[in-house]
Amino acid sequence: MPKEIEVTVNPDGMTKTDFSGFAGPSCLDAAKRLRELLAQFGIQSEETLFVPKPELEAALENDQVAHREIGQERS
Amino acid sequence: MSHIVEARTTIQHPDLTLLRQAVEIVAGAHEGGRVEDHILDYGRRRQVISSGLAVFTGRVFRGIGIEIDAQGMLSFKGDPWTVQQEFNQLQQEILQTYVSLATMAALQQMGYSAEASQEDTQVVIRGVAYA
Repeated sequence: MPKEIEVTVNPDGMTKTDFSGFAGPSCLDAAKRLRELLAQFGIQSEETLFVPKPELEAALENDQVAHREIGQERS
Repeated sequence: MSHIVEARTTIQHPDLTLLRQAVEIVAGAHEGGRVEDHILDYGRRRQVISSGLAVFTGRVFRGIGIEIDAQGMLSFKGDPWTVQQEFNQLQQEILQTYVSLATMAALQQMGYSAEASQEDTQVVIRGVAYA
């Protein structure tokens, strides 16, 4: 499955970026890289909405559970 | 695996090559559109624009210039008398086109093949990577 990034640019400069086809939370890395590259062109993005898709939500929850379990093992 | 982000964008210290490209695209999309290095004031006197970028169209015949201040912030200069709506629209088109071109370039640098399409008033850029 290809990775897709779809960016909708409104006349007022607002953007909506839709990441799909990414494995685990790697879409967050892609979003960070995109922000960094846009900053090189002088574009600063101020996030107004973040909507995880169900797959990312599950991956983030698993990650939190794993971190919690590691923390409990250590304590 | 995926998410959606909405963001407000501001431009500071723009890439001048990309900005010129955006201005040329916008000028080319309007009847009588052209790029100059100056605008005209109410007395039809030339006012030089520091960035060297101004758009004239058949309607906005005194032009709209893009100024960049010491902090790198963009502003638009011109006399919108009787053409306020077209003046505002040109500003939006220049900003939207600049953000779109920058997004295309950024996606290509990330290894995505990127295509842009105009959908009503929005520009939609689709980047795809198979690796």
